[in-house]
Amino acid sequence: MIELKGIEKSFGQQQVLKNLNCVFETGKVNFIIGKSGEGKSVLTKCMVGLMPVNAGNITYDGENFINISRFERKKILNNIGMLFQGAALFDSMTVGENIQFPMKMFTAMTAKEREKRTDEILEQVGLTGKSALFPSELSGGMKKRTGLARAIALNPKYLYVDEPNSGLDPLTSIKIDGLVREITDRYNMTTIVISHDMNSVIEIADTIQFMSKGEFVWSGDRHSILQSNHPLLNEFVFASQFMREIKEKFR
Amino acid sequence: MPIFKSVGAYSALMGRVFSKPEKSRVYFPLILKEMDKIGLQSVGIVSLLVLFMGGVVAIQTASNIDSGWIPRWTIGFTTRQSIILEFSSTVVCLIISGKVGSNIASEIGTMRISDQIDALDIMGINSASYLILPKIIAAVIILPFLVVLAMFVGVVGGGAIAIFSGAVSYNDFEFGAQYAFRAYDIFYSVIKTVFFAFIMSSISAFHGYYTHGGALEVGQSSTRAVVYSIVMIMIANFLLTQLLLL
Repeated sequence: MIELKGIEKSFGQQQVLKNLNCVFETGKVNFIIGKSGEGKSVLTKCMVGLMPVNAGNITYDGENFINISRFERKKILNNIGMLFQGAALFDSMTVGENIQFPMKMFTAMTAKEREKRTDEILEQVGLTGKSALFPSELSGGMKKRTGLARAIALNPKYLYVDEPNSGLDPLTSIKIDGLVREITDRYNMTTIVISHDMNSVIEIADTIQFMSKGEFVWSGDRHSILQSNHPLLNEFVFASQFMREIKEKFR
Repeated sequence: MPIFKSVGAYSALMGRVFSKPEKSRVYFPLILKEMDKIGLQSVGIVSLLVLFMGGVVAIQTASNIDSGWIPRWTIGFTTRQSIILEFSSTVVCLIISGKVGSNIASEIGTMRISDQIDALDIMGINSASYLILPKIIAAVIILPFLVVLAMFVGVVGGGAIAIFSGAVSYNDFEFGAQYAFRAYDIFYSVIKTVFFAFIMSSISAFHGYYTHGGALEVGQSSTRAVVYSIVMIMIANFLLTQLLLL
């Protein structure tokens, strides 16, 4: 479980995150949605320690993440996996080496054990036999799957997924969504997905936080999102004619 | 970045670079890889440039000796001294700054803009140390060897060019090249190289590490890395020369 209490973040005079309070529950796929530039990425960076917050507190299963020593923070970070928007694979390493990298750095596993674990994960994400390829030889979907494989290499408790479907075709997007769901269920993770993609939201979201101008202005689940009368949420969710027509039919 | 902010950021980055690494043994293969990239892959270009530098120094010295009072062996002496004291260390490090410095900045800069550095940080790895320390150690170890090689190629090759072009006889060049030789000059040059290697690798890495934006900014970081490295090498050259030769 990840808990945010009164999170605030400013850049100079501009306040980007305003008193954010929220609980992301274990075993659930928690979505943070919102328009571009509303603070989703900044919030994610604060939550994983890439940016300091100005006020508030973040706890991981009750353990404080703010104002702690580097050593204590490292312990929590070892339990966090993240899939970046562009996958952020290390270009100089093969798929297998990318996945083995965290194992090499943080475990005492032998080369054989690492290879075994890599094969297992590659099978889970549907990339069996692709271990020797370099990131430049992969398609967008394969890169995301490799990124996901690397993120779960150490069996983390918390998984962050940033825009999992950006740049992917609808079929591949559904496969990636399915993988996020499956991995969350299998490892009982607290998963946080940052997304604009309403298909993903409808497909796999357990909880949804809608962000506008640095605040959570609506929260609910994938069923209630279609029925909500929140004007900002409606403007975001039903931005396209197609979605508006669906809403009419749904009513 | 204003100068004080840059100096502060550079110092803070170096603090992170030299903090205790996560797993020291992971660094060893990285250092070897960097030694290959920084040193061994530069042997060809450095040898070629120093060879012609030696030749040019010898021929220019020969063309400027028009007094009968100055012996011809001065050509060998001047070539040796120029190559050992200045060309092998300073000029070679300037060449390496252009070749390797821009490579370091663009490699780390690309990692920054493609979130690879953030990925390392989120894993709990000290990205500054993991990415930069092997490059600094490799440069500090391998560049002195490259400079010693440059001394040899510069003096011998320069002499050969001067002799074949008829600017000086073999005996005169050989006598001059051995005249009043001080081993301390080689030591001086190697010590300078150690400092230059640190300056070049750390400044280039600094500019790469703090790249923000996209491909355009990576190019700008790469250019800044080379410019600042060259300026700092020249300043360090002056200070070290004052310190070591006077």
